[in-house]
Amino acid sequence: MSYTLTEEQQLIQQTAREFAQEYVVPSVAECDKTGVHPGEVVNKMAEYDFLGLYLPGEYGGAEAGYLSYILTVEELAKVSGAVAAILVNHASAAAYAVSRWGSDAQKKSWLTAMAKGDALGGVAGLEPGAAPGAGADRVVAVREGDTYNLTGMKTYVANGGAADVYIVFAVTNPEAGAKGLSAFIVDAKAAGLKVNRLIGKMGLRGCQWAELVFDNVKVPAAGLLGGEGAGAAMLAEIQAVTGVAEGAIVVGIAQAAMEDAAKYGKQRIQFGRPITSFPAIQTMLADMAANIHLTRLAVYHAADLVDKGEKFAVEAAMIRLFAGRIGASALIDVIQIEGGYGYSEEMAASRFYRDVQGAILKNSSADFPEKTIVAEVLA
Amino acid sequence: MSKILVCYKWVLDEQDIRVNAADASLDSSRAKYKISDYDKNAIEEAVLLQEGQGATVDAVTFGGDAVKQSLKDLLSRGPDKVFYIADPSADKADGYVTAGVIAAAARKTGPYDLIICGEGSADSYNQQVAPRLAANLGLPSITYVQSLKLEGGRVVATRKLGDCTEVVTVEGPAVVSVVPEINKPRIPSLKQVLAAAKKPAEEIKIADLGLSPKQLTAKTVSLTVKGFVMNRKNILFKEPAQADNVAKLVAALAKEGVC
Amino acid sequence: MNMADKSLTQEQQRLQLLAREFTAKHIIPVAAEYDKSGEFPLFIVEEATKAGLICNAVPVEYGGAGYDSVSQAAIVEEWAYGCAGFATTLGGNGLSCYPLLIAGTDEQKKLYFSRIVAGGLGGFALTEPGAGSDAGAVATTAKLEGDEWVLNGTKCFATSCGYASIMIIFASTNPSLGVKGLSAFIVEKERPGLVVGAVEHKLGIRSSNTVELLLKNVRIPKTYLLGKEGEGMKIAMKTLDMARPMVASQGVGIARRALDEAIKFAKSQLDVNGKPLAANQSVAFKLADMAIQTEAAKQLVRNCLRLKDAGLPYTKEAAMAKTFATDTGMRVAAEAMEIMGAYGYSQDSVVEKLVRDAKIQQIYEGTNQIQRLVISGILLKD
Repeated sequence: MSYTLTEEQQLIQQTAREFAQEYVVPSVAECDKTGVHPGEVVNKMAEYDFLGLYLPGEYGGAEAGYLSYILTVEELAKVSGAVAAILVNHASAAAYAVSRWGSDAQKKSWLTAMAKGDALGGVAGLEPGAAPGAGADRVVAVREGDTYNLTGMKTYVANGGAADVYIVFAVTNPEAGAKGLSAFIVDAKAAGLKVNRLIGKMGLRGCQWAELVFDNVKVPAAGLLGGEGAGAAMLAEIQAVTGVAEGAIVVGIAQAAMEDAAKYGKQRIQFGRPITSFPAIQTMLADMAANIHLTRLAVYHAADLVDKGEKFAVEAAMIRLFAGRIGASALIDVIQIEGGYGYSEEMAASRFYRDVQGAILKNSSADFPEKTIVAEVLA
Repeated sequence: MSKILVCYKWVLDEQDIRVNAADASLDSSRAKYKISDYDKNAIEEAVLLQEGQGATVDAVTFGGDAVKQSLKDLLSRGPDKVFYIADPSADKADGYVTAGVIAAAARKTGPYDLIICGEGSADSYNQQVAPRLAANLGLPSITYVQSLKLEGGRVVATRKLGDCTEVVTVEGPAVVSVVPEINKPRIPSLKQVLAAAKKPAEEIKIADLGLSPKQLTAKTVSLTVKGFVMNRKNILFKEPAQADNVAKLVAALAKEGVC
Repeated sequence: MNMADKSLTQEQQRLQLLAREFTAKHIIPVAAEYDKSGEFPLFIVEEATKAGLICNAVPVEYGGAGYDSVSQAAIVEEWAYGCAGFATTLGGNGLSCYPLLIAGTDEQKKLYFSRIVAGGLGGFALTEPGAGSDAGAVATTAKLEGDEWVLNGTKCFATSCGYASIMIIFASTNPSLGVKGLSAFIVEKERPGLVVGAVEHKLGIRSSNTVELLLKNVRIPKTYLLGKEGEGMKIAMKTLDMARPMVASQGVGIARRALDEAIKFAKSQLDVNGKPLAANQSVAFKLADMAIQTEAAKQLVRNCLRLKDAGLPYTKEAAMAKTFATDTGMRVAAEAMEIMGAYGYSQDSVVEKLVRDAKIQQIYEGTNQIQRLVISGILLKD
């Protein structure tokens, strides 16, 4: 890959930065307080082509490439991790699935709507008390003629209650284990599909998490995505491509927080000098700057692989393995630098701290990232 | 359909320029370029006219080699085509030279029904180029424009003056310079950013403009550039009664000639 | 759960179990609710008074419990297992009593402890907007006028001071002397001119009361000066020596809770193959690491307090315990969240609260950077 951004990518980055300042900043405090999906901001993102940023032009996307999209996610995250997460769960998770495995008809209807921002997407992968497909509350899909009947429960569904369409992973063959998992495109308005409750969480408030109940939801056979039994592999790939974008959220939040800490530290006088003149503080800033930079490079590199159509699962697993820790440790240090003020809700650091912890969840995925990485090491 | 020319300057972002505490010299090593702020208003106004009544919009800029980086940014904001004069001599150019260069370029690429400039640039803010450009081209000049209409061949502009406004109507073509109140420049959408790559950008060589060395020699010479440093008086009023503090503050301000 | 720590004395074990029951009954069931509302749990002070757990640091001759330091720490650890916010409120009482133990006259102790024994809260106000780690920069002043001290200034991040009945406030009696001009005073809440200012809303320990204190011509008797003029810094440093193992115990309590939650999760959650997460060695070993660190932190705390109770120097050990145990609380909470994924991040689990709460112990009672300054200062002295 080229280690410098093209003029076009820089321009997209600048545009996203201006957009975030203009349209996202005003919503941040309210969103964090209420946890309610910021519909107006999402509509604005649609208007500015963010929702279909890397999706194919044929279906209404801007086709700017995954790296350009990643740059946008990073810029949004500097201002609001929640808004960045909404975009990622729509674009990297739901829309990616339709774009990657959808039939032409599925793409024409759903992908076009998602790329243009007429339909917001979400992925329903996890079940209460279990990894996908393994629990008592799993969603089971039974085929009857030309329709599938979906019954069961999904939890931690990001964009839940706000999305217009869900990619739902359901068991079509209970005997086949992981190979019995299949994906369906389900209209959020489908009869029998209910938002059971919204789930409160530490941060990223505004990117709603919901528990979804499927009570005999009828999905036409044409709503099956990929093929029967292809679900587990699809889920793994979605989590990989989403992980790259989640890494960008971590980078954006940590970068913004570090800049705040540097600014605060230069003005905070203790023992007659700015605290940034103390090596103890300098070391923390240097460590986080280096960690953020390395994570950013890993993220850009993985995005470049996605753009080139090359394999990226291992690189994505590496990001999932360490990006979360780097984000958390950066924010632990940022608040340490800002002290009691950083711990108070008056400073952005306390929100960044809560947001960064959830930006990329290591073990919420179908499997341990270590496994993917070590398989490559031992190959 | 009318044809509009909008002029812009590619300047260093003043937010990134640091003042060295020791000698007040400027450090622009970390500064990036941007389209000068008021010129963004000029661009937006041209694009609004283009959308409102149909017009083709050309843009023109004169600057050092760095102006080549500005082309996509400019085109993503709506103009149909951009002409650029990239020449190292721009570093020493003043309003006299710049207006001469742009006038010569406009003669080549025009004629235009309307030429729009920002009131002044974000770096030097001399407010010279627009009126000089008008004089060069023999056109009427309207400055401080806060609202603008094209009515047939006529240009109707409202000027923002000290404590009043003035509505001016002239027969076009004309050169106007706009103030920030005129509009709120849009952020381009990503599709506009991407489409910018497909729009034409044409270089004009300064040598092809037929300007004499004298016309390319600045009339003003910059000797030094220094940062502005605000000196605090560090006077504290610590009387027990607040009224005494107020009285002392007023007296101190009066002594400084502030009130 | 009900096994006491066998390395403790019988009496210490009794107190540990008492505090554990108290926590299970009065703190754990309501901690989430108070975290959400940020409301101050005044009721817990009443309950702790009833249970005989409120004036642990107050000597028996003044009507207190007079527990040894190891017991006090074990109690704080149990509270923090339930909620670090509650532990901060209850433990703050201990903190505010230490200056009296260090420098109080008999009269002063009677005045101060009688209020605490009666169920009143104590407060400790040192920090100011311009004086955090740098306590010598305190700008609040105290001037002697006849038989009274007159205090003026602003304190911030003062724990429990919105509800405190009596408090220790640090002010400079001679600003030109810097650190050496600092003095400590007893101030009752009803003194005219003492006003509670803005309440801080915080990332964690949200139910604990953190306020700004405004002092405008607050007059107190001349006899309310603790120790001598200029001894404030010395008193503050000794107070913090005593308080550090207690903050460290909060770190231990948080780490223990996070470990328990992670174990529960790893045993009940199934991986993609239908096996419990704990069956995966990488998870099991992670749990082992968390337990090693938690145990080490606990023993560092106990060790320094045994030194203290034996009357031996323990400043360095207290700073080490504070740093290691609070870093451990932070690290183990973060690791629990990593293991628990989306569930750990959601408010269905207590772990997200632990991650928020665990951050403050690294900051208050002297940031862990200041602790390292103390430790390295002693190491390099000779």
